[in-house]
Amino acid sequence: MNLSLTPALWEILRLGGVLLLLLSVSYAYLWLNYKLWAYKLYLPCKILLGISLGLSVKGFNASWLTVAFATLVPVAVGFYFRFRLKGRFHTPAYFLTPAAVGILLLFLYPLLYELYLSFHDLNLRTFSQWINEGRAPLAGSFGLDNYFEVFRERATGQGFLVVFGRTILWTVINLVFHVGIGLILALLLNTAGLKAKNIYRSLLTLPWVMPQVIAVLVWRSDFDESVGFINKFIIVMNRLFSFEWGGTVVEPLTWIGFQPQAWFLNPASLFAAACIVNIWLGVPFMMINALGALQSIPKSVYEAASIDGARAWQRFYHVTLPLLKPVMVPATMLGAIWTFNNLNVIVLMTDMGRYEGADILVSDLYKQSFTYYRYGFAAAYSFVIFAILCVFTYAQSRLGQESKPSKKEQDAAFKGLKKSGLPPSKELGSMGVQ
Amino acid sequence: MALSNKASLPRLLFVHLILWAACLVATFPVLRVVAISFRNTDTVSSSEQLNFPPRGQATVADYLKFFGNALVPTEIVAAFTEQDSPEKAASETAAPIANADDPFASLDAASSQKSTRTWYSNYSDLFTKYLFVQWIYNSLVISLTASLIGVFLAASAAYAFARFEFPGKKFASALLFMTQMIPAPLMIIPVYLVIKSLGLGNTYAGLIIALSVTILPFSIMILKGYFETVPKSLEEAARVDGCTATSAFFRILLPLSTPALAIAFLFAFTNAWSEFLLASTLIDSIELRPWTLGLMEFSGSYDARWGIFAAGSVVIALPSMALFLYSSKYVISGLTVGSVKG
Amino acid sequence: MKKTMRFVLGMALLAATGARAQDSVKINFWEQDPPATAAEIDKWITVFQQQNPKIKIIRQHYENEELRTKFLRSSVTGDGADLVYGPNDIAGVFATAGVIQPVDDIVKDGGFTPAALEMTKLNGKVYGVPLSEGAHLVLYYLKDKVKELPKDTAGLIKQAKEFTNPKENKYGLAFFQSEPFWFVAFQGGFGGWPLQTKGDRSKVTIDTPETRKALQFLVDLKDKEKILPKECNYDCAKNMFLGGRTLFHISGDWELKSYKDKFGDNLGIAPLPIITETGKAMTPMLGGRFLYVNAKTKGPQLEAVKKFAQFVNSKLVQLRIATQLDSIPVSQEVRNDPAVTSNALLMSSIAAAAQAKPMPPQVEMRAAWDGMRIMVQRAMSGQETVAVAVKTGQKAADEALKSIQRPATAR
Repeated sequence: MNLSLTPALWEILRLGGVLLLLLSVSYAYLWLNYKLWAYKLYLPCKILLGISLGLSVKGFNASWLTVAFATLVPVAVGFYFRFRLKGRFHTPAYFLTPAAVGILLLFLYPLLYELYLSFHDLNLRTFSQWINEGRAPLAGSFGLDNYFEVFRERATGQGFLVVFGRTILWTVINLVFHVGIGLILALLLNTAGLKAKNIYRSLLTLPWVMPQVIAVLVWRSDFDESVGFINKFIIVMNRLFSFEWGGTVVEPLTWIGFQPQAWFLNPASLFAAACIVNIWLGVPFMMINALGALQSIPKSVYEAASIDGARAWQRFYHVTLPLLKPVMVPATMLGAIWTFNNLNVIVLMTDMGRYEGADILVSDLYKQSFTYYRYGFAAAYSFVIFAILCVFTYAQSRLGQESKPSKKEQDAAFKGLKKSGLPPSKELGSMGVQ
Repeated sequence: MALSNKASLPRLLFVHLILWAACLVATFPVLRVVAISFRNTDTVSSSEQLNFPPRGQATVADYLKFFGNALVPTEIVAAFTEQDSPEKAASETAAPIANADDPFASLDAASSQKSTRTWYSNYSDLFTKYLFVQWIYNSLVISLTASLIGVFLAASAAYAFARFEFPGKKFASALLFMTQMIPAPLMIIPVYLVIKSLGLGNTYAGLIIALSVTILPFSIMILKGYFETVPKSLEEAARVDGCTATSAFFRILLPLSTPALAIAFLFAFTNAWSEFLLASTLIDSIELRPWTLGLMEFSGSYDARWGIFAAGSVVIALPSMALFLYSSKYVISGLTVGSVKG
Repeated sequence: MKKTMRFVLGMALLAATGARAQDSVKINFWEQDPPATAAEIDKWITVFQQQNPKIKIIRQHYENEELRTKFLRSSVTGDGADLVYGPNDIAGVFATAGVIQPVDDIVKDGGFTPAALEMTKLNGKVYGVPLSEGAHLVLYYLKDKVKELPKDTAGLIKQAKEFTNPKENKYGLAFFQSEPFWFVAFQGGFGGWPLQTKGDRSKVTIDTPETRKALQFLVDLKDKEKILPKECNYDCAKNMFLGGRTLFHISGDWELKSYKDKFGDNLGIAPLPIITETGKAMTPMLGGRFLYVNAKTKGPQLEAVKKFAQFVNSKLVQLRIATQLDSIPVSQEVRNDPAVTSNALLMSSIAAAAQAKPMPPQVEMRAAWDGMRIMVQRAMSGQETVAVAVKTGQKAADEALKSIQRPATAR
C-alpha cells in the first residue's frame, strides 16, 4: 500500500493561503466601509456595486438565486453600515467578520438556495434544464405545489400527520429514557464512597464512543427473527421464569408481551426496536452531563441541608434537582432537537427505508425525496421540518422565560455543558445518506 | 470529604449491582462488534442455533455458555482448539498454467498468492489490502485542522458576542441557534456548489473549510457562555494599562479560558472525526477519503463485508475511546471553577 | 534581460506541460462493485493502458446509491466521471436527467445478445455498452443434501417440508422473502410483470389477478406449507444457507463466487423451478453490467472511451469476465468457448439467465419496487390480506409514479 502523506501538508499550506486571502479581503472590505460610510454617495455606490457584482456573476452563467444573493449582500451591508453601525463598533465587527463570512457562505447562502429550490420543480425530468439553463420550472402556478405535496394523503396511510405524530412520540420516549436513565446512573455514580467509579463511567460511555453505524447494524442483526440474539434471549428468559401450573407450562413474562417478535415486519415492534437502540446510544450523553453538574455542586450545600435535617429524598428534591436544572434543561433541549432530526438510527434500522412503520420526519423526507431524486420537494419538506423545530424552540424559550430568568439559566447551562465535555452529536453518516 | 451521608454497605452493594447491570447492557453490543470483527463469514448474525436445555434443566453453566456463544466468535475458538487442517493447505496448489500470449498472465501471477484466512485476517487485511492507514491519516489531518480553525474563529466571534454590544446582536444569536435545527440533507447541494466555486472541490482544503464552518455555531455558543463567566475586570484593568482589545483577547481572555477552548476543540474534533455527509459530498479521490468514507466501502447492500467493517470500527474506536476517556476525566474533575451558584 | 529570460522560460514550461496534457487523455472511471471485481477491473485497465499508452484511466469506487447521487450532483457543475460502470437501472435515472449520452454507434455491430441491448434501451436508444449479464436469481442447494432436483414447485415444497423443523430453526427454503426483487420471480411465474411500457410512458401493473395469485402463493409458502421462517432478510437467508439450516436458497448469481469458495464441488445451482399451477417457469429479473458515457464527454475523451468499450468487449476481457468474475459474458462467441462451456456452475447460471426477463431500465421501475415492497411486506406480516395488500401496493406505486412523471407545468 503506497501512502501519500505529503500532499496533505501542501494542501494545508494552500488552505492557509486561501484563508489568509479571504481574511485580508474581508478586512480590507470592512476597513473601506468604515472609511466611506459617511459619504453621501456611499449608499448609491453600494447599490451600484451590488448590481454590477450580480451582473458579473451572471456572466459566469450562475443561477438567478446566486445573482440575487451577490446583489443583495453588498446592498444589505451598505444599509447596515449607514443606518445601524454609523461608524461605531469597530472592535466587535473585526472580531465577528471571519466567522460571519463563513456563516454567510456556508449557512445562509445554502439556506436561501434551498428556499428557492423549494418553490421550484427540480427533479429528474427537469434536471437537464437546471444544468444547462440554471433554472427549473416553478412548482405549480404559485410555486407552492411542493409544500402541498408534503401534506398530501398517502395510500400507505403514512401521511404527514401520522409521521409527525410518530416523530413527537419518538422524541418524547427517547428523551424520557435518556434523561431518566442518565440521571439515575449519574446519581449512582455520584454515590459517596463508591469504588471503581472510573471503570463504571468508562464502560457506561462505551455506546457513545463506538462508531454509530456499526453499533446500529449490530443491534439490527440482533433483532433478526430467527438468528438474532434478542429473540433467543427472550426465549431463554421466558424459560427461566416459567413454572408449571396444573400440568401446563406458564410463562408469565409473555403476559406483558415479552415474546419473540418478527421485529422488522411488524411496524410497532420495529418502532420499539428503533427506540431501544437509540436509547442505548443516547444515555451516555445525558449521564455525563448530569454527572458534570452533580460534581460541580459544592458539598457544603448538602452539608447545610443535612444540618437543617433534610432527608435524602428531600435533599434530592430541594437541592439536587434545582441545581441540576440549569444544566439539564438546555442539554435536554439540544437532545430534543438532535433526536427529532436523528436520521441515522431510523434509516439504518429500517434497512435504508426498506421496512415501513418506523419513519420519523427526517427519514421520511429522505425516503420520499431521494429515491425519486425530487430535489425541490426535498427542500420544501426540509423547510417544513425546520419551521416545526423553530416554532417548538420558540415556544419552549417563551415558557422558559416565564418560569425563570432564562439568560442566567442558559449561561449556567452552557457552563454545565462545557463540564460534560461531550461532543454535540455523533453524526457518523449512514451509508450514502444524503 | 467524609460526609455524614456516606452510603451504608448494603446500599453500596445495591448501587454496584445496578451499575454492573447497566455496564452489561452498555458493553454487550460493543463486545458483539468485537466478536464480529474476528468472524470470516461476512455476515453480522452468527449462524449458531439456539442450543438451550428445556425448562428446568438449565444450569448456570448453560446460561454462561449462552451469553458466551454470543460474544466469542467461532474463528477464535477454532484457532485455539483444533490444529491447522492439512486439507486447507493442499487445495491451494492448483495454479493456472501461465500462457505466454495472455497479457493478464503476469498480473494474475502477481496477485495469485491466495491467503488462508485466520481469526485475525480481518485486521491484517485492513492494513495490507486497503488504504486504511491513509484514511485514518486523512481523517486526522482534516479534523485537526478543521477544529483548530473552527475553534479559533468561534473564539473570536464569541468574544464579540460576550463583551460587546452591537446592533443586530440578538438576531445573530437567534440565527446561530437556528442553524442547529437545519436538517442535514438540506445543505448538501449548495455547500457543494460554494466549495466548488471557491475552486476547492475534491481537496482537503474544501472539506476543512466546510467542516470548520459547520462546527462554528455550537462552538460559539459554548465559548460565549464561558467568556461571560470570566470577570470583565481583568480585561478592563489591562485596557487601562494601554492594552488594545485584541491583545486583551489574546493575552488575557484566551489563556484564562483554556479549559473551555479544550472542550470546544474536543466537541469540534469528535464531530469532524465522525462526519460523513460533507465528506462524501466534497471528496472524490480514494486517497483523500477520511475513514468514514473508507469504511463505507465495506458496507454495500448485497456485498457487505461486516467482518472487516467491524474490525475497522474497533480500530477506529480504540483511539477515540482513549482520547475521550482521558479528556472526560479532565473535563469533569478539573472544571469546577466558578460553578453553579444557584 | 533577466525578466525576458524568466518570461521565455515560463512560456517554455507552460508549452511543455500544455503539450503533455494534450498528448495523454485522462478518463475518470467510476464503478460500484465489490473489491474482488474492482481488482479485476484494475487489471483490465493496466492491460488497456499498456496497449494505449496515451490514455490514462483513473478508477474510483462508490457505493451503489452514492454513485448515482454523486454523479448527478457533479453534473451540475459539469464534473463527474466520463465513464460509469454499473447495473442497467442506472440508465433510467441518468438518461432521464440527461447526464449520459446514447451509445448506439458504439454498440452498433458488437454482436451482443438482444437481451443485453434491451436492458438499457429507452425511447429506442441504447444508453449502456453491455459488459456482462447477470444479477438474476438462481436456486442454490448442496448436492449431498438434495439427491434429486425438484422439477417444479410442488416437488420443491415436498422436499422442503421434509427438511423443515422449526424447533431446530431449520427451514426448507430461505431467501429475502419480503423484498420485491425476489417476489418478481414468482409474479413472472404466474404470468404477471410489474411494469408496462409504451413509448415514453410506463405504468405500474401490480393490481392484477396474476400478482394476487403469486402473492398468495408466497404467503402460503410461509403460513400453509410452513417451509419459510416468519421473517428472513438477506443476511439471515445467506447465513442459514452457510450454516446448513436450509435445503434450498434463492439468491443472486453475485453470491456464486463466495458460495463456491465455501462449498466447492458440493455446491449446486439451478434455474428457479416451474410453478406447478401455471406450468410456467419462475422469471427472475436479468440485469448486468454496463458502461455509461457522460453526456458532456466529447472529442479525444470520447474516442478514448470508445476504445475502452471495444477493449472490454474483446474476447480477451469477455473470457476473463466468465473465468475470473463468474459472470455471464455478453458476447455470444465467448459463451461457446470451451473455457465457458466446461464450467458447469456458470453454464447453470447461463441456463437460469435464459429464463429470466430483462429488468426494465425505466426510472418508473423505482415506483413499482416501492409499491411492491409495501405490498409484500404487508401481506407477509399479515397486516393486510393479499387482496388488500395488492390494492395498497398499486395505489402507493401510482402515487410515486405521479411524482416521477409530473409534467413540468409552468414555464
